[in-house]
Amino acid sequence: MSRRPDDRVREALRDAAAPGESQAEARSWAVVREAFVERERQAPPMRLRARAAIALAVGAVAAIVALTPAGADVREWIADAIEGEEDARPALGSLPAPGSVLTESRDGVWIVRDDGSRRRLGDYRHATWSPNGLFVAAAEGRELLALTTQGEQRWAITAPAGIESLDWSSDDGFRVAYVAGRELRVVAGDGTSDVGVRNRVGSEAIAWQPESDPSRAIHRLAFVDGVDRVTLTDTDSGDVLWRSAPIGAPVRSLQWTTDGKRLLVTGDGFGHLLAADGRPALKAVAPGATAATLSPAGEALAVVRPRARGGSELSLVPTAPAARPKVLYPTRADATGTFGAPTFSPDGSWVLLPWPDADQWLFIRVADGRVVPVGDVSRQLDADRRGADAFPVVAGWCC
Amino acid sequence: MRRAALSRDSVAPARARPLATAAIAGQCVVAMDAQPRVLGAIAGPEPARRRERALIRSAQRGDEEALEELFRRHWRSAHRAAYLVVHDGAAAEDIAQEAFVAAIRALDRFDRRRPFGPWLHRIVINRSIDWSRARKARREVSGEALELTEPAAAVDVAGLADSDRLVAALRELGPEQRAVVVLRHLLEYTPGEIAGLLDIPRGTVNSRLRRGLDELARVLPAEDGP
Repeated sequence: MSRRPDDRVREALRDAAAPGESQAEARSWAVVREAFVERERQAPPMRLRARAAIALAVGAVAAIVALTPAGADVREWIADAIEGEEDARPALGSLPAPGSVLTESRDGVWIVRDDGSRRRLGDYRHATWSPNGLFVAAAEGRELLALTTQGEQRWAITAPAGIESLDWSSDDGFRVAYVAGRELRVVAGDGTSDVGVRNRVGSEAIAWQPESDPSRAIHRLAFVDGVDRVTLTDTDSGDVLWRSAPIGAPVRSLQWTTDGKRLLVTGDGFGHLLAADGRPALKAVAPGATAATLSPAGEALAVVRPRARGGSELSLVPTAPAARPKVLYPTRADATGTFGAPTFSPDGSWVLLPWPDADQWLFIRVADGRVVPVGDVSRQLDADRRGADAFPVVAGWCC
Repeated sequence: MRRAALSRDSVAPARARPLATAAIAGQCVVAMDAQPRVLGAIAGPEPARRRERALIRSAQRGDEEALEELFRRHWRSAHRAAYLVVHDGAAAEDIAQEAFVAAIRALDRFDRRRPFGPWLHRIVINRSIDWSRARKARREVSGEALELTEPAAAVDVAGLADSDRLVAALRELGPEQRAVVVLRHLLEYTPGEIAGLLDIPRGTVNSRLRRGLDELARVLPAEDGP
């Protein structure tokens, strides 16, 4: 007796194995297992949580003490006016939070792992992490490359002009966007299909919007149109999804919250938050800022700004309306220089604050303002001993 | 031939990846309200459901063996479903792998009363559709040769086994239609469940299924009957 067509289709589909199914299963189990182990490492077992809660409470009390005006005075007294923090560690030991830091400087691109080990990837000017920190996209001149974290090249393309910035799509890793000359271009995550998206953009600021629905993989990129209008485009279809109202000043950087619901737009002395539809969500969130960075969960900004009486400070500014900012780290009034752009650790618990004039990195714990200073940074990430010119810019702290 | 597949954090040909370790908080985290509306039938008999609930509970408490059993139970169907929609081995592996990693990141918030499979399949199928659409759009933009989408006439199905014929014919359908066929005939969801999984009307599911089945039936050789 002949079978019904749908029965035959069903049987045929059941027999249709994907190529290399067993090997794929073995590889994937290794990845999934590691993700599970990492999850366990980050989430302490229930029996430890009570202890953690006590520690947190003690920390909170310490933070209250440390962040009162009197505490700030003590901190100012401790801060070294000329040379940055006293008692800075002479070498990069282990990072205070999991993940690896990617840096770029005139001396090239480096990775600093959480155990303190360092690797120079090569003579590249710009770099960005792939979403899970498995690869790095790096650029020098017109060349764009994908590298393993060991520095092994996986692919390379030549752009039509010098590359000014780049960003690897934040969810699925299927796209790398970059600005070459003033042209915005997108290349697939395996180095194929390099295409122009916009002939002329207003600045090198670009940012892929994370997709909040994990079942979707849509490639939306924010960039600057003209001088001060932020635009969101679907790079697969070419559709412009929205253009913001004029920001009113040149835009220097764009950063999405990891849920893709808010976009931080910063420039000289300002920071605004846009909603996912391009409308203003919170204006003037960082007035006077020389640098601002969103926390991974988007609940706060780390903001660097000059102090009225001299010196600089790092503040934590909540993005919730009416919430009050708190100063995490102030320098003395006569301290030299200002800070670089702060960077949150992947779990949001620490901020890396570069202090180029002191040649220091300050790791500052968000919960209580504890400072772990590391000195002599440029020498440690300066293979050619070029000195302060090589003080590295932090390109990301990933995964 | 240049490989057309795009993979997560992928820079071919490296296939064995270290891990998507601790992603930035919130990244790729799965909203549990994203679970499909229609759940249940696919989960199988009650003892199997109970066992799966126990596995999820154990995995939530950090039991790696329980996680492995969950993985082994669901990997093959997830991977095969992805492959039959995207027709690219590397991409299918990435999509299925990423679905599991997303599940692990959301494990603490997973409602154990709901079966795991439909939630996983929803992620897999929607990502597969997105991937297929993106590939098509990218090629249209770049003018690249459509190396994986030759017309049906170019596929020589003579002498192929039924499953190979079917895979070749499936490739000629649109990704949305492929997804519906795979959900119905490989994963055995009802049309109502498929509508819930894909957020489309049930009538659309039925029409895609009907047209898809007509196309696929053409490539299967006649059987002696009745």
